[in-house]
Amino acid sequence: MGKIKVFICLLSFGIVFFIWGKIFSYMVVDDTVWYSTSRIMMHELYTQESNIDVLFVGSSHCYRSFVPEIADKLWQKNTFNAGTSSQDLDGSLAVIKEAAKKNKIEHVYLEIYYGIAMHPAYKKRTEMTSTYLLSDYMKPSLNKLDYLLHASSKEYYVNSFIPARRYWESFSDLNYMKNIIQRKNTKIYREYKYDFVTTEKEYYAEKGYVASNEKVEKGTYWTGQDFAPIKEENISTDWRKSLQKIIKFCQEHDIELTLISSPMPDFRLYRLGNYDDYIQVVNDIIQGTGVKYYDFNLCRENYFSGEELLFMDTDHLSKTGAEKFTTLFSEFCMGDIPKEELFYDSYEEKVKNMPFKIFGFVVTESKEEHLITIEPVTNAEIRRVAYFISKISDDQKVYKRKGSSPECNIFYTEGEKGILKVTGFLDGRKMNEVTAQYGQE
Amino acid sequence: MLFNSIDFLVFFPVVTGIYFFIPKRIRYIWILAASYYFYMSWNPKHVILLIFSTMVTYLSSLVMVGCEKAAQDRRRETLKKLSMAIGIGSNLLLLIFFKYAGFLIDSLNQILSKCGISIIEYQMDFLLPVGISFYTFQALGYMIDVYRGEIPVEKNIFRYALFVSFFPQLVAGPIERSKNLLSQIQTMKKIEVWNFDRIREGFLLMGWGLFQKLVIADRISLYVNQVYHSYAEYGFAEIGMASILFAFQIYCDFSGYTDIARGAAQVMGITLTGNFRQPYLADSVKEFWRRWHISLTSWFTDYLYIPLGGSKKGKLKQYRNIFLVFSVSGLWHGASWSFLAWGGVNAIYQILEDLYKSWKERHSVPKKKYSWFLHFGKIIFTFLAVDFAWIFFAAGNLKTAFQIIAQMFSQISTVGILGVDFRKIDWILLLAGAVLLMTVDILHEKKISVFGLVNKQKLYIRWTLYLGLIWGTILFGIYGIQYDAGQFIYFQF
Repeated sequence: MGKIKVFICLLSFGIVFFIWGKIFSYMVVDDTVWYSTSRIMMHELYTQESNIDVLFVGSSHCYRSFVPEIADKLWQKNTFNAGTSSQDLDGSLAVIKEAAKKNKIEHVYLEIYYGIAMHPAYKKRTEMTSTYLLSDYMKPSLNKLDYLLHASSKEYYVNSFIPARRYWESFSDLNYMKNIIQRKNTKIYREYKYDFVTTEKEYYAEKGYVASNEKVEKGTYWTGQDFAPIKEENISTDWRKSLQKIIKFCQEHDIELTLISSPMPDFRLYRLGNYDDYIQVVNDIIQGTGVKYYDFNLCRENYFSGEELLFMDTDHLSKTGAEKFTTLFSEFCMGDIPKEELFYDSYEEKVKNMPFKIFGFVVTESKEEHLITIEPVTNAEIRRVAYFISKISDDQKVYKRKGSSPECNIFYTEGEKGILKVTGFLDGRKMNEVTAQYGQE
Repeated sequence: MLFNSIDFLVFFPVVTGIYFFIPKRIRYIWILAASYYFYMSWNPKHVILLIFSTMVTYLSSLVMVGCEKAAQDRRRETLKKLSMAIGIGSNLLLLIFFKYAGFLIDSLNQILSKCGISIIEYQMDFLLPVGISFYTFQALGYMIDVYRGEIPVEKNIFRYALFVSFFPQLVAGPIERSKNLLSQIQTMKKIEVWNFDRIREGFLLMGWGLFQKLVIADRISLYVNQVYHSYAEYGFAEIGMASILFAFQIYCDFSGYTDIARGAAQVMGITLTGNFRQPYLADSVKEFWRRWHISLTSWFTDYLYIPLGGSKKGKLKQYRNIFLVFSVSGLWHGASWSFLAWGGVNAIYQILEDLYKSWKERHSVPKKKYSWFLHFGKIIFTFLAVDFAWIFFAAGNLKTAFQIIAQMFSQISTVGILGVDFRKIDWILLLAGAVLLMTVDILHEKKISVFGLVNKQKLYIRWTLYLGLIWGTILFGIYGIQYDAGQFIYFQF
């Protein structure tokens, strides 16, 4: 067989192999439900008719915070939100590169939520979903290859490059495959409509922004998983390197880069205890690069409050919060609000200027010991705080006690489950009422 | 660098790609460099042992031939033997030190402690060098062949070094004879590298090997490891099933490795010896050993069994020789009493078979043409006998092997064969894989070449089969993040 014939043969075989891969992915990869916001976002990114002038990148704090519609109107530019869930900085760099291929980007706003900085080193990743949310919808390119090769250890490569491999067990579930194929074989899926990703409380708006109508009621913050303080040694070297790479890429491509931290609830930030340490790390990295960093968690309360009403959970902004934040952010960027007027110098300073309050409660449960620990998160002296705890099991109030200590322990019997109500008072005024479940499987 | 690793996926195309393009005369140098890199990817320090073994056998062989030419008759023979003894002795010492020292001292300590003598304290915190049993045997085989005058000595050190270290078969065989491999290395520059059919077949063989390893062997290991690691929780049904499955696991594991090795060599235009010939279709244990790990069996036959006298010096000596050869073969596999027992059991089987055959001959039992059913029965019986011996192999130590056998006969079943944590999809894939494997083996048994059969098909059928094999391995292989990378069982030997 001649060399040309062999080459054609190999090429054809490669194409057929690739097509089979696509068919297998079509059969088992379920991106018809929650996975699909990034599918639609990436499709929109590639098919934007007018030039993307401003790009927002980052994690869920990005795609839930920046509303392109508002920014477009205020700035008279085409902005696009390319945030994806848990997007690490290597993902942000990859998506910036993808966007820069077709667009003359003027400005990139990189949302740098502190939680992302705490992610493990890329080669030690064990959870790859956030990578696949991007890579699965990136067009084949050297950028994609580079992103995937550096995103994990070698053991993950097959899963990274062949999506169907991740779902191999589904090949034995005919109903599952039938269901997936049926859903994919609809007009709304093919045409990247939003129906699949829209739930009662949440919907994909446009240009990458995901809006949530979920709202946290005032005084209801609690968490079952405590927020661990930031440790500088936990900030991965990969994260730092990626940040430097993004800075370098933007400089080389004449793109202005600004780092942003979108607002988080004070319940979380106050509990962390050392949020300023993170700000310092970021400032140290960007020192001398000309890159600006604005942390909207340092906003004065008259501009943006870290209280519950603007958030959908202990992390993210609700639709109302995102709209308010985008307006504020856009106006600030336009120079309408002076920096000194908008921000405190540190979170510590912000806390000093805050009124006393109970931000919420940390309610942790040890299933082995059948122990619930309740801890108020407050900037007031603990003697001014009182909290009542009601334990309701099988609709019967089985326990009630009052505490004003830094924490309170409650035991429950094996097999018992129910609801815990904690009512917090500051100087005798009711501030909080939280409801948590306990004893659940 | 395992064959089923990403590293090899990169290494092999790069090595062969360059091999195809570099000048013909330096091909063997390139493959030698690649082979040493391949070996050093496990443990760079161990390359010293490979070099030592290569140099000693190379020099001994040269000295042997030199003696033949230079010295007088009597002295010539003595020097030749001395040179041979140094070559064999130093290689065996190396093997004994790295592989058997711990076992020998432990065994001695057990005897000493029973005699009330204080034990020998020692610390051996080094790893067994990968493939040491394979390459030392290959090098020794060459030396003996030179000694016997069956092959000419290889004067080019690099060619000889490549013969010892050729990467596809370096760490787990087949144990090649110089007549086959060395002669191909000597004529490497004549190989027509761009032979599409040969390359395609080579890749197909590699694909089939990977399928056997990743889809069948490693999937079976999920079941077998579970049962064997906590055998006390199971009964006859579960342990029996695990033991039957282990027979297929080790077959697919080793045969898979061999196919990848042969395929990789074939891509480069080198033909390696086949190591298996449908072993589980053998109708006697003797026949099984003609079909299983052929390169090792023939090595032992040529260099140990026949020099001991083989079957020429009476039955008693023949049985002694069988027993000796299989015991050594057992120990070759691992420094443990259980491997010795495994070899011993196989020797006993063969002795019993021979006794039965002799009895039949003495009593003039008329030879009947067996019906296929009887033949099938003999195959099953042989399989079960061989399978029982595998328990000693799989258990790791003698005490555990006996405990597993005792546990097997203590109760019929605990959770049931299907009660072991092994998913439905794993059973389906296992069954499909086993059917495919047996179909291929039966076709080969009937002297039908599967590749030949595939090649006769129309393009779309051929491609469907190729793609089915590749995609089947990619999608359903046991590898990657959910699983530990499965070492080939024979790598430990």
